[in-house]
Amino acid sequence: MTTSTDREKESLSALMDGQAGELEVRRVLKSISDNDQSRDTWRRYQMAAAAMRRDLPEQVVDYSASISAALEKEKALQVNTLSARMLKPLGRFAIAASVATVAIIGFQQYNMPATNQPAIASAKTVDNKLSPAQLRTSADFGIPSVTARTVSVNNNPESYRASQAQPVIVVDQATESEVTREQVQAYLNSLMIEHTGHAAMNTNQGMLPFARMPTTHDQ
Amino acid sequence: MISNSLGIMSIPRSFVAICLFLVVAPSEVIAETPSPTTILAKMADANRTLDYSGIFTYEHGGILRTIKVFHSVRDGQEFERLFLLSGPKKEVTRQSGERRCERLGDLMLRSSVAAAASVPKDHLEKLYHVHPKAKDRIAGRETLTVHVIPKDSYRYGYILGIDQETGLLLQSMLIGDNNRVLERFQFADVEIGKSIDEASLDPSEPEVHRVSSKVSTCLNNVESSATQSNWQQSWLPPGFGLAGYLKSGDSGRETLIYTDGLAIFSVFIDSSEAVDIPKMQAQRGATVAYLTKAKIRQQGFLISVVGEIPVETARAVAHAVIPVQHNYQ
Repeated sequence: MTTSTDREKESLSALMDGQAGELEVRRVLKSISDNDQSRDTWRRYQMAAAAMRRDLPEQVVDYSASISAALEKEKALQVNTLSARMLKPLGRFAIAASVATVAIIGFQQYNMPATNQPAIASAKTVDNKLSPAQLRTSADFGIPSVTARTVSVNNNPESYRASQAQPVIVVDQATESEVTREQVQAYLNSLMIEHTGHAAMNTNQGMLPFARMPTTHDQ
Repeated sequence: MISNSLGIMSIPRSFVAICLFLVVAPSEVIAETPSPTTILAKMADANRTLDYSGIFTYEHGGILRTIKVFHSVRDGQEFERLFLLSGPKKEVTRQSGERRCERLGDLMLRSSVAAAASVPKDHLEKLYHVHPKAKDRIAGRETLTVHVIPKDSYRYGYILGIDQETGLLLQSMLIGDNNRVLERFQFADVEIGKSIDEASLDPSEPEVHRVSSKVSTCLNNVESSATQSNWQQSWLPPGFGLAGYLKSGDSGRETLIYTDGLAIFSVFIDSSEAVDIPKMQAQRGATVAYLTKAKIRQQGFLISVVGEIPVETARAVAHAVIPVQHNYQ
């Protein structure tokens, strides 16, 4: 584990001030990408400078980490899609319990507690890689998506870490059930749509429940 | 050149400092704050009584939707039409059923200002810390930011942006574990108080999803209809009450709706002969679904809990669904 030296910090400062030479720039960028500590220092400098200019955005963007996280996620998705493809020819949930106790179908954001769910470990890893103060980027286009200000009584920067793309459905204790993935999705959607209607009639959050309603596009 | 001392500071600390600076500096803390729960009561009224139209965004997990809404109140009846401006075409119309109708969720939110026999006056205070925070501006209007923080882990928290003048909810963020923002709803543009013409409420597409009030949520009806229920909860998260009940004649599905005034979840009980779905849990945005099975007197049932609640709560609720004994004798 290397530590970021005073010299590196000086180089970072120089880079921020636009005073760094070409070689120094390359060295610093390499150091930022290889070394977590350098990256943190760089991020702090950026925030401090932005705060001084009073133009600190709600979040500070560190593309270096989010790009690598996005790439990481792409990989994770490919892996998962592969397993999904392997399941597809069967078209059934008939998975022997000895082979898999957790089957995953469908992909969307999923904020599951990290307990005994080995199958989503790859997605979790991606999540952990994102450091608190940065914007999330969509895996597709690298467009920053918004996160929000935190509950300030507990001003935990962790809250800036928003949920990542994770599976939408986890089947516990896969059983010998003759049902297709589409049927499961359709049933879940029907429940969610009904619940949306109930919520709209009952809560005082105006039209918000409808915004949550699933569309075919999301599935 | 940046001073080196900044480099020594840990990220969280410097970040917290900057956050505080951001939150506190632009807007002074409100001096003449009305009681926190009064603000929520006003919000409850505004959403039910105002005419408004506008465009809002809804975001969860990297998905952003833009939605246009028209909301009108005529003779105490609500008419609403929404359609997606982005992505697939989708349109929803809603019409509130009965005119004189007291709903549990309403009573709970308004409990601090309007007494109700079924809801204690301090209902909300028992469940949430309600902190009016700062003034903000949303959709070009002055808003009050209110943090609603749950006192237990059975429910989520909220950051609400409430219109200063009218009490209309202009922004809502649902806050989950580790202060994670699960979803954000926010108006980009809104017009409040201008009457909505008939044409704006008419659906433009033929296949519009209509939300009818099949489930009676008026309290007097709920109490009478729920006596037919074959199911009940042996446990509920604190502060939740039955807000609606429905037995579907066709499928035999029974639906029970529970709310604490802010959070809401539905419990669906289907015969597992009719619906052969395995046990599972699922999530879309802030909505979780927890499905489990029960066998009562040789008959299988699929019990599903769906709502904007932590999955642990959904699980506990699903496993606490029990048959009402007298109906099975």
